[in-house]
Amino acid sequence: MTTIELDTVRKEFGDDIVAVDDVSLTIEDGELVVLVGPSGSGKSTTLRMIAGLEAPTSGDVLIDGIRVNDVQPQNRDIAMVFQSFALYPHRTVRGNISFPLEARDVPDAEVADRVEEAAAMLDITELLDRKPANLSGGQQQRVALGRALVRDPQAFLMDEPLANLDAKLRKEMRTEVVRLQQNLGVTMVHVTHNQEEAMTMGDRVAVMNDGKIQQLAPPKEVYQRPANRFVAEFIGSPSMNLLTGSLDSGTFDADVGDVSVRVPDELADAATADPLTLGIRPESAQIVDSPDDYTFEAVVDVVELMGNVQIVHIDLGGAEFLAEVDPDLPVEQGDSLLVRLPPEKIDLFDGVRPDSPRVERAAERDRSAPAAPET
Amino acid sequence: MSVVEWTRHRLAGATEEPVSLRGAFRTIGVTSFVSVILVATLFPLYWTVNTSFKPAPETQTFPPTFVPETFTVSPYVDILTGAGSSVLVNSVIVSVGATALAMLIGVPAGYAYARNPGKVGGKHLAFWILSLRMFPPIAPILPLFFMFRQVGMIDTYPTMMLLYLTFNVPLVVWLMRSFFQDIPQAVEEAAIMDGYSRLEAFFKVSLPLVSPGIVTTTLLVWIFSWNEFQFALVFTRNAAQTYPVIIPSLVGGHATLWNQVAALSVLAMIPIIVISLLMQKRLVRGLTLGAVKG
Repeated sequence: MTTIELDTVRKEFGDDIVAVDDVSLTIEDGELVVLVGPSGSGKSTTLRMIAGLEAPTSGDVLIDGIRVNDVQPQNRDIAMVFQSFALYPHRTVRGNISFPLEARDVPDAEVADRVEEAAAMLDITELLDRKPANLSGGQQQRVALGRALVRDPQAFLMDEPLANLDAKLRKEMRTEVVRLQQNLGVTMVHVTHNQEEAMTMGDRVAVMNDGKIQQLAPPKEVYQRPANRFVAEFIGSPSMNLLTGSLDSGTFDADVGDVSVRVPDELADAATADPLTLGIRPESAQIVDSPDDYTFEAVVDVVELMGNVQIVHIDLGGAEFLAEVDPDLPVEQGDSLLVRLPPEKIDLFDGVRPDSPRVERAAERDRSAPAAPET
Repeated sequence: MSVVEWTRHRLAGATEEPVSLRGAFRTIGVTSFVSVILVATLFPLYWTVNTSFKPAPETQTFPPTFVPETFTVSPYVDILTGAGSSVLVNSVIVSVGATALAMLIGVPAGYAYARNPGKVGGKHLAFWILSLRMFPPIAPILPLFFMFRQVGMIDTYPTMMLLYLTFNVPLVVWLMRSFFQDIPQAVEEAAIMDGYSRLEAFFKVSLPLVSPGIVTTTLLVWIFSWNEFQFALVFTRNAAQTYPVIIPSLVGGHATLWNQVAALSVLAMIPIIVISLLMQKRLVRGLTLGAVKG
């Protein structure tokens, strides 16, 4: 049973660098929370403060309700997996995995059993007598995981552990880490800059930027109801189309191109800022034959066939607009076509800054789940 | 083909030389260059060994003999029954003590500098330590001499060990700093997360990983201390006299005992050569430790 709680935790480096800006976050027992954000967003620093490798400038870190600010990292009973794996090159795989047990004066026979058990779980039994230098990246990753889980820690902290693996292996390990976490039922905090990893792994995702949590919610909610413009753009691939412009009696006029579309009244009425941002995901944009209030005309720049879909790059004269459409739709470079933004899929962001909040629909406002950022 | 490539090529056991006039000239060039260097470095060594087995008169003959005509070990017997044995013992005590002291001080300092760049001792301490190696050792000798005489510490082992810190500590600190820098901080942090204190992490992880660097540094510091002349000349009389000071005393007004000079030199070289050979594998690893990342 392990909950991890951050209470207005702040980390400053030097006089003017605020790495983590009053972050509050509660990670429930057995939950896998992914901290995701671009580099410099403060996600790794947040993780290192949970680990105890960095001391918060202010605020409290609590494990199971007990303040651990002054507890040394080695006494927090938390395991950490590093981006570089940080294996001990002078020890064999067996020596690496048994190292945390040796610190706890576990009897030799039990150490041997538990190392074997962990190795079996990760399918690295035949590697036990090798040195880390003779292992592939994926094998090193498994050893690092083995070292973390052998001592049955209260929680796992993962600092971009998949970033150094190639794409195929990264997906395999992603699944494996989630499987391990579920089987062990252990609390885990996973840090990544990869939004796909965040979406697929997390029970909840904390999207970070500029040292703040922008949104903390289950992956689906983060994707469907991004709290603000930053989250909307960061989560999802290809990114959400964001057009800045202004509203004039229910019609959105974009700053670039010849885009003038109607937006639903409930959104238009709730928006207050001018200029503001209209957002639509590439897969929601449609290419249609007949114009209506929700269409605009544009010229195709590039077409990329991905197999199951094709991505149409549309030049808006200064901005690019992507539409993900059926691969059989006959579209070619230079074509002039009608793009439709279905009203039920349109998002409005109240302003043009990354932290401009998403305008909620009435049905969403009625729900209890808060979509506003926690910080 | 560069010299390095050529050497690799040869070491790889390649039998087929690239057949071209240019290649041939290059091979000749490289071979002659290496030969000149080899002769320049090895001939004095050979001549010292050669001289050390000659009776005194034969060292003065002209033309010189390239192999002793009268082979004798008496120079060794003479020097060891004379001043030689005690100065060699003194040299061992002083150099080993000085090396241990310098490593004891310098290794933790180097670690501190590697892990907290810019924080230890402010901006200037690091440069000050380095600057200790910049001035000629002769410069502080006189003031140091008066200081040590005042406290009655001339001609003692501890004095020599302390004096040698002046040039050894900067070397240890700067070498060890870069050796420690090559050890990723994450490895230490992993040990801490695994349940060890920072000090335990240092001894269980960082120190073993940096051991080739320690071997290299120890050997360099020890060789400097073993061969040191200036401080030893001024600060020792008899009790703590080291071997380099004895050698000039063999160059007398009437006759120079070249064969004994050579014999003592050979004796002084033996431990360095033996230890270097024993440590060769680790030594090379240490010397290249900072060179290749990853």
